[in-house]
Amino acid sequence: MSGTTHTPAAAEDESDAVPSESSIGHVSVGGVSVGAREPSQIHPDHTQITPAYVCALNGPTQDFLCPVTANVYNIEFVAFKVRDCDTNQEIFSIAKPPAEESGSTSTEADASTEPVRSIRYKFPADFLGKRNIGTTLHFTVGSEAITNFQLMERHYFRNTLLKSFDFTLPFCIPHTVNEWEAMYELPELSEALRNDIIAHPYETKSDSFYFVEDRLIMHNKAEYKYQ
Amino acid sequence: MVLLKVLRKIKQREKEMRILVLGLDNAGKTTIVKQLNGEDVSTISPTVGFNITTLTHNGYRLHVWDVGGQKSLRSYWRNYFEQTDGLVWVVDSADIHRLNDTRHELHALLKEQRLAGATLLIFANKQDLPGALSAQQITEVLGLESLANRSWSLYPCSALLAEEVGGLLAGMDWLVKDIASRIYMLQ
Repeated sequence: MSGTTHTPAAAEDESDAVPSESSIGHVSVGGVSVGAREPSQIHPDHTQITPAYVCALNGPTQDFLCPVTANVYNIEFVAFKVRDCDTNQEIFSIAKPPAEESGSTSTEADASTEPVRSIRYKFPADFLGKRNIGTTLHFTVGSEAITNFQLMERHYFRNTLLKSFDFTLPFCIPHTVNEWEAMYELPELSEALRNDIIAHPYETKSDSFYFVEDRLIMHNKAEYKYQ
Repeated sequence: MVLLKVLRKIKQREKEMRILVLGLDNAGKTTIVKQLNGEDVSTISPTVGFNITTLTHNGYRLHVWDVGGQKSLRSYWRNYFEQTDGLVWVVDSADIHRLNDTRHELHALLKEQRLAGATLLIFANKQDLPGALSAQQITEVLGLESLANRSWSLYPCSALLAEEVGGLLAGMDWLVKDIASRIYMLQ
């Protein structure tokens, strides 16, 4: 796994998180974004959405940027867990079939056969002070081999980027079940920001974009509450 | 400031290593990785694909790729060779009937150009099982003494036993040290 993470410690450091040489030309000056894409903007067709495009987003999107049918590789997420790598404690776990802790998830899917695309997390407030988190994703791959499977995950509080993650799996074998633990170094948040996040449940959001060969195939969303 | 940032990034990169864990099915690859990671090893099932994780060892971040060893999966191993710093080959020391297979598969890997620079660590696993061959016997069976131009070492271990994790750690100590010495030499 090759992974790069960017930690904008402060808003003015955001230019570090978004490569200015990207074709989108995002420029951030003193926390005011110039030429960045507004989250409410109408997005192009999902076939046009690239990693560089989502890298230039400066807030959670209103809608999913691709339909469920974009997942032509039949990648299926079957389990997900979060652990604190420093204490090796499991913080959250969800698996399919059922076994999900009711109340901790919400589905916006129309039919029960549709995959869950958004999830609501409730974490204890001290989660915000954790430094090293591991998220393990179990997923199955369909009949085709997959090359360059890339996850780009962007976390925001309101329209401020807290953290952006980028991981690439160069190859997945057809008809397999795989386990992918990504390690996250969480940014250190100021006391004020931390309090703000706690005071405003579910205004901390993330978008997870999954690409194969730079083409968007899945988009999931999450919202977070810390109490 | 920018230069400092660049330097910091290079430094971080130096502290990262890519480790590929291979071996026949049921050798104990996943158990080894999970045990090193402090995870539960009582319910491990055959890996039909890969498990990837990141371990921190002696200040280095190890990106560990554990790829399933079933026959149908072995032809896909080559997709994971790129940029491998360390190859961990796991042997079931009590699986006497497949020692030829494991030697054959290992030597095929060692011919791979993309693994030419990788340090080789062999875990002679399942030492706790009756009839397990000793480290010396596994060394002979695998023909390790004849390896030329390869930095290798073999460590006996019993990955399922938490109290025996020292064997695994000793092997990883050696692996990380060997890779680090090579990386620094290149500078």
